[in-house]
Amino acid sequence: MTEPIIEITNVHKRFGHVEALKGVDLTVMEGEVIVIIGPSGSGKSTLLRCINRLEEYEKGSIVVDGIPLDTNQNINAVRREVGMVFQSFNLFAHLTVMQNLMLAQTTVRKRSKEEAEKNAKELLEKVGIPEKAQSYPSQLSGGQQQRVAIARALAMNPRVMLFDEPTSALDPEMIKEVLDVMAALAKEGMTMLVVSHEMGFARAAAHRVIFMDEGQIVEEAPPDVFFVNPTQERTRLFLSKILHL
Amino acid sequence: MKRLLWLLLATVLVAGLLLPGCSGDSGKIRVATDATWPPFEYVDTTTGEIVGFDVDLFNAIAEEAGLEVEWINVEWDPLLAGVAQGTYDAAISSITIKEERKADMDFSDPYYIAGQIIVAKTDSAITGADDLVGKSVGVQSGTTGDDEVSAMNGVNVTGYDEIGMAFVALMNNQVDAVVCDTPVASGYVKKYDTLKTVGEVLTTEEYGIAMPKGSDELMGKINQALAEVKSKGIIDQLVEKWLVD
Amino acid sequence: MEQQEKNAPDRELSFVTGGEVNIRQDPWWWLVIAVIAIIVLLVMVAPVPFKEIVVFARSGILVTVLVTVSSYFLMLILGLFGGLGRLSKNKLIFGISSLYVEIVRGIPLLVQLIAWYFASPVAIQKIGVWLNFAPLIEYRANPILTAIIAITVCYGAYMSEIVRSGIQSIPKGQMEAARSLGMSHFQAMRYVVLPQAFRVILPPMGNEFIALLKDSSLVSVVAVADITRKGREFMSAHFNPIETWLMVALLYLVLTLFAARIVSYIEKRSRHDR
Repeated sequence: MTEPIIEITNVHKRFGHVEALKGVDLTVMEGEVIVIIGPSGSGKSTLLRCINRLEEYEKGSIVVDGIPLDTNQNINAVRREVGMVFQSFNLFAHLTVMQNLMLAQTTVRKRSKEEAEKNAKELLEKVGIPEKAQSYPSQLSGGQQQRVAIARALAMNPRVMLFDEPTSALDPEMIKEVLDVMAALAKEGMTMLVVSHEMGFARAAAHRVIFMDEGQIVEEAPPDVFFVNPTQERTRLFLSKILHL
Repeated sequence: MKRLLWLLLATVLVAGLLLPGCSGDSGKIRVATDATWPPFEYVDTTTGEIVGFDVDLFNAIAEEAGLEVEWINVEWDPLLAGVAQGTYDAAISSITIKEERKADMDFSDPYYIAGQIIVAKTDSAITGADDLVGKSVGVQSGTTGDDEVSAMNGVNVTGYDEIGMAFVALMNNQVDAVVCDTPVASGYVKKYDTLKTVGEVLTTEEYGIAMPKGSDELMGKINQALAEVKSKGIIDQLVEKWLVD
Repeated sequence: MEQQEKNAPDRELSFVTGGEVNIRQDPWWWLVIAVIAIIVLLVMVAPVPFKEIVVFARSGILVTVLVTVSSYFLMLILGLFGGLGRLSKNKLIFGISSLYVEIVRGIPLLVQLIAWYFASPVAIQKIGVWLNFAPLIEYRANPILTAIIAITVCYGAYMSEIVRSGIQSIPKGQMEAARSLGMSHFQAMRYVVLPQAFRVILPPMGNEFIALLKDSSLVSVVAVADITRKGREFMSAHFNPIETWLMVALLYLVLTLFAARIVSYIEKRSRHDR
């Protein structure tokens, strides 16, 4: 954990009349794993999507790996370094798993077919489903699809991985297989920002837990502090609602 | 996918090759006719050539006037519109010289006197024009037959795009009679013994060669040649050949 | 396992998906064969007039196919650009494509054909006069070319809407995933969105081909000697409307049924969840 890799300064975003982000400041260090929690509408997904410019913001600045998110060129450059995993997987339905993993490698990173294939195979091993290389997404279970999605994002060798509620659309018995992959990734030192409700993961793998509410960061602390002794009343309230065991 | 693209390219190339050049041929005059009106103009289905009284007549006129003819076979409505617009240099197609038509086109001297006649089923009680009152009569829309019948009081006119359809309607008893030019009428009556012509020729009308307005030079040539052809007795020969059986 | 699946297809579904090309498994091919058999029967049993009609209409069949296929592929291209234009954020491009679609869809094809055939030479000649450019002044409409252009422009408008709605039917997440991987908008469209949209618009594309094939009979009105015009010429020379139109209808039927089989075969082949 050395250099700051993401610097978010005073970001404001509105959707029509609704202000989704009201001045968010956040610095993410390289290798940090941050889990963001909060009620729906708190702006946590929006914040994540601002980092790779899937959402535009009106005020403030975001700098990723030294590149500001201003021009189209810079945005594309940032997107190469930032991988994203979506709640609904968003695998390319008309391509096989293998092709899914190889497409961006060949078209964006301009790798040769052989190199891309080799990388893809390794990543499939890593996420635990090498036998599904020639299958189509529709032939996979939800957990398998999400693991492929993670592999697809990793195939680009990003500096940062964003996870937008990666397990929220999964059946309970498939959540663990995906969290295991994420935990292994965290152990390897990947910089990760995860929006999730999986507190177990947060406790086990996060360096920092952030609570967002109504477009602002309310509290942030390492998990052992955050879950045991939150300082803000709103945090306490939220935690009491979701930690029902 | 690639194969489809090649097919596309091939088709466009073939189309380009097959399409004849579209520059105007100087020297040749473009003469239009709707070759679906035997025995004046129709297609000899064994040779594919346009033949008929009008065709022979105009070829004779052209020879007399030293003109080269390019024949164009086109439907009735676009034919008239084409003459009015100047797309064709002349048209010979059993076109009756009518005052209203003179507003859009010029006519040569008349070359033939035709008449309209009623055709009915052999068991029909219709004996003449008076019997048509209260009955339905089929005609080809836009022809003088149409005009004639429409002018009769108390007669229901049914217009068809082509006279063949009117005759089918007659044979199916959908109309009580058909009114059209005598040569065409006799053609159908000869073919189908359930049909007969009824009464006398209703009207007389004159056929002329139509030309765009202002075609004074061509008009002069054609009228002069027509007069020559008449005096040489060619028209009588053609009548013998095409109209008498 | 897979072998068994192939030999015993789900009969119900094969009607919907078009089934295998194999006649054993796709009953609709029987219809094509049946119609061809009827034609052959008529030609053999009553060569006058049926064989004569078929022989006479031969060139017309070629013209009909040429006009249909050429217009079809050209209008696909026009439709692609029109559809993309309708989705463009650029106000000018969006405006032009929308205007094009609205106007062309509001005028019957027959009227457009006639307009092109009669108006375009006048327009071109006037431009020729204005530019004092001899070849343009002498320009005469080539009927087949004009007809193909007219049909292309007309059907292109409908195709634009089909393309637009096809692209819009692809979930936004697909584009987002592609962009988040660093692909440009163009790359995302080319590799992710358009291929999927293509499968969505394949059925309506097939429909448009068959509709176009039948609408091609309108070119007979603007001096193109297609099957319909040939039929009309034959019928009037021989005074036999019923037989002639019967054979013409059968000829069109063979063409459309055959085209429909090809369309469903392509649809079947492009399904990727087998």
